[in-house]
Amino acid sequence: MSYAARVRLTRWAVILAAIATLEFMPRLGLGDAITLIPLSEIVSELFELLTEGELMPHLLATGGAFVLSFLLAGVTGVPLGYLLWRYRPLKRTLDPYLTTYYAIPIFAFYPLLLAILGFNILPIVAISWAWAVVAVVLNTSIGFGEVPQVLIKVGRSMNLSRWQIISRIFFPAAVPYIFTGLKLGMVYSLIGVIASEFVLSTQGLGYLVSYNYLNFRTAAMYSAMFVILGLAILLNLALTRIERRLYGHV
Amino acid sequence: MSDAAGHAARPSRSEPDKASFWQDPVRIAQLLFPLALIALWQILSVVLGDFFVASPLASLGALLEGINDGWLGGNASVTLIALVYAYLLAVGFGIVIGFLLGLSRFAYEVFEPIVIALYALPKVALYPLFLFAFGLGIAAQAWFAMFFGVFPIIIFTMNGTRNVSQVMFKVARSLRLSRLQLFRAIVFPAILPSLVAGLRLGFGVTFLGVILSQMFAAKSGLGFILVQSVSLHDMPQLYGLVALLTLFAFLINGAFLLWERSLTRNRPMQTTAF
Repeated sequence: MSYAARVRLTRWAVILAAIATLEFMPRLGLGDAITLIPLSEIVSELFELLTEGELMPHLLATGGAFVLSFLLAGVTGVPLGYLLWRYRPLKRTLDPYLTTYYAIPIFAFYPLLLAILGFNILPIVAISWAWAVVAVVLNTSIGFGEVPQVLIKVGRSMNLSRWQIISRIFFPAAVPYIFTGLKLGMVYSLIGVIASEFVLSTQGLGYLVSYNYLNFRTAAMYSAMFVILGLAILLNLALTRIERRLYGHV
Repeated sequence: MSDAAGHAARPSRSEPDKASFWQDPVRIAQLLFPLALIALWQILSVVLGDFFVASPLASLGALLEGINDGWLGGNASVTLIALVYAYLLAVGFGIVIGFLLGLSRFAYEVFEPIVIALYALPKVALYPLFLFAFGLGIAAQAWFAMFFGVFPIIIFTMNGTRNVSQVMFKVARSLRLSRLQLFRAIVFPAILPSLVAGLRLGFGVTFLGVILSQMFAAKSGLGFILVQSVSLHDMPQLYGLVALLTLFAFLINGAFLLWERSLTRNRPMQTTAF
């Protein structure tokens, strides 16, 4: 067996072992019978929730807020990153603050947004956007900065107009960085949506977890957790796939 | 001069001396930026009115009142205890796991994607599991925040350990260093810069985890007070707390950045996006 295959096999063994622990720990009576539920029962509960249609509105609420906040982060983040790269003094001024940004518990602003915007989808979208946008901005501006001088010189020697240089040279050359930024932005906006729904809201998958926890519906709570983790894992897998297709195996 | 990791010192980049510090407009703009934010805050409070935005002065007043009444000190100490508890756990687990995973190429390749995937998951929704395991209180908050903060530390320690070049191990062998000497004189100094970067990011995420956990089903702590001030619509208290938390995170992160810079001054530039 090749080395790479051995690595992959061991990785799957680790993951399967973790899943098996989830199934058999409660069955063997390790841990509390009320709080720990075998995986298979969670899955059947999940199907029940799906067929009864109880899950659908929450799934839509979470999906909507996620898509909206991510799109906003992309649409605002890329131009802002470009501006930041274009005006170097601006970038140099903001650099220390941008590097500190993710050290700040941005989520503390969620209650503040709630108080301003009310209990609806707006504060959720706003906080998730705020969480995601800076990753997009930072990576976009880094990407434009890393465009090799040679490419720019080639463009000049071909008498390209300013706009052509940006659209034909800078943009394609910066795409890998922008993609990294968008990928991070996507992960952050999903985390932002789930977190705000979980802490304080009236709908969504995060809300479903906290609602079921507070009402002692443990099986339903676990199935909501599973939907969240499943979606997040699918999202990550898709992103890795796309990345690999774009740039080959890294 | 060269440091323990073996990087030859580069000729020091022309650092701005003290006289030119005040002549650099970027420096001045950097110093003015927080003031501009406070000015913006003040303007917003006037434009939108204090039902939506409490003025900076009113918020500061609410904090001072909180110190006098004792609620600020009490809840801040709950948050601080949870934070220290969580961060110690995260640092301990993070360094040990990261170091072990970094030592073996096989372990690294097996676990690296799993660790990265766990880092990117929305782990907030798993908080009830910690409540089940530890009961309501500081222990659940601390272990949950540790679960947040441990991943950056693992990732950075792991990569730092992996990047200790083989040449250094050969040098150590030719110098007949003992295992302890090898660790102290070669491995540790080589890992330190990326370790400190991991510690910095880990701190930020741990802090976030503590605040988040105290927003949910808690009876004390700054996160709890934040949520409470929404339901009481106490805007000065809400804005004061948010500003306080932001300032605290900013200062701690700044201290870590200074530490990082002092370590990497003599090394080739490493770019960490954030």
